[in-house]
Amino acid sequence: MSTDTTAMMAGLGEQYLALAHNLANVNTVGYKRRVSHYAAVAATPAGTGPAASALAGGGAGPGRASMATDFSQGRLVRTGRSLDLALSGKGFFVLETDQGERYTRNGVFRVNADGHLVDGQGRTVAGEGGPVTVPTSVSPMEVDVASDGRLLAAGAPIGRLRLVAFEDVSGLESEGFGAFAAPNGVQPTAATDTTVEQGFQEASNVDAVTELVGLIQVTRLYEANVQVLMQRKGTGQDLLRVAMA
Amino acid sequence: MLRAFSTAATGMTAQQMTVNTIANNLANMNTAGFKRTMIDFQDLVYLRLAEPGREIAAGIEAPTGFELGSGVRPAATLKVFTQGELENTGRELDLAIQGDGFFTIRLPSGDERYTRDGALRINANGQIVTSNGYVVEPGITIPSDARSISVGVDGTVTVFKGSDESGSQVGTLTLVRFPNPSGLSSEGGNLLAATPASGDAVEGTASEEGFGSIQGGFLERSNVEMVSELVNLITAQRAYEINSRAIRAGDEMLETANRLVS
Repeated sequence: MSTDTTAMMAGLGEQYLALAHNLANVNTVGYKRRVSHYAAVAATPAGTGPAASALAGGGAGPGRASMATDFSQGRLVRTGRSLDLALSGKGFFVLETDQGERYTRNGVFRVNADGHLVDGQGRTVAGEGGPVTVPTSVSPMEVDVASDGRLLAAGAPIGRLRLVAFEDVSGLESEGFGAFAAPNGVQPTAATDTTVEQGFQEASNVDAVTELVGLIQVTRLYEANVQVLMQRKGTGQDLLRVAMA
Repeated sequence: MLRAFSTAATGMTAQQMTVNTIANNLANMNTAGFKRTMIDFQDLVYLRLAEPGREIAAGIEAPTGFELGSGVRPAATLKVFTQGELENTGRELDLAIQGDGFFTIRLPSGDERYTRDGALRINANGQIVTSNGYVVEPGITIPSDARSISVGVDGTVTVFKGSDESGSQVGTLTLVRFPNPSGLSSEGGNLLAATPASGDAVEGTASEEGFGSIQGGFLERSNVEMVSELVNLITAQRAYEINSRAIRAGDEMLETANRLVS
């Protein structure tokens, strides 16, 4: 039984890490919050005191559960910068990297010295027919982006952004640096219900209050589990495991 | 758990940088030709503790993996080159660029710098210079007996002498533009320098081929909007606070664990 308690505590430690990561990204454009399975456990009223450890044993099983990404829409914040593009809907921008296609919701783009549209990491933004090139004679300020992703440089069409969607976003892997990778064998489809808003950034969908409530719950659950361990006078090995978690 | 401290610390550092950037923007609210800066943040790499699709029980595969993030990092600062408001000063050598383009400045070292601050002067040799005394390309000299100067929207500089009503042209101020102005590096003193990221300067005539027009008697105000900067400042301050709260929560958990061994 005390193994369950320490497993629960290790899990809480990981959930705490996820909450801290969300809070660190509360102002990161296009960031999607991570939700751990433990959050669901902690949210049940019964999930306090000694009962919590029983939940860990019965529900998730000792050890870690899963971490999912909450892909809900972030609010759009107006910046007025012509190459700040925000997506409204479920789609993604496509970035071309040496490792293959990556997908992002961070549309803070710029034009590199070659005239290609790139993201903050310098990764090329994919268009329907290859990279989008802004002619050097046109200022990035004169680039207009239509809601369907068509790009106009000083009124002349220069291409269209590739916007894709996934039937099942839960399999997408976070790569860091704002990008997601598709699992092996999964191909995205063209996004249908997604519009591009020029001059806007999609804010992080982290809600500080929710995460803070999560932090308090995790802290209290952790405390409760320590109480359980103390009452059961756990073995030295248990104590060691908790200290190392 | 100790790792989460550094995760939260990246959040605090990021917000600190935002505050610094906003402070600089606000300090330059009244700097002619100043362009506000913003920071683009990105989430840091993820530690993959479990792969999606792993078998969790006989024949049952986990639909999702288990990834732990490690915080946030600033990816880049971006200068936002939106047009600033034009302020009528009536001074004949106050020049504002309406649209895209920069004045080219020649430093004493011979290097070129670029600016949108058009508060220009005439130095002892009659040359048109910036308020720091750097020569504005292509190095136009105003005759000492000039009564007044007028700069056209295309950059032509005309001087009027004595009772002469038609005036005579003494040169044309050229403008340059960049494929990626956000890639210019700020050198202080309202000067910008070209970088490999900005691309090479393309020279041209004002009011032509996408270049902005030059407005004499006006100064371009900074494009910093006080209200939005203040809102961003409050947001950053609160974000800083909640990240410190995350550290405190982790500290409490460690303290609780410590009670076990005491």
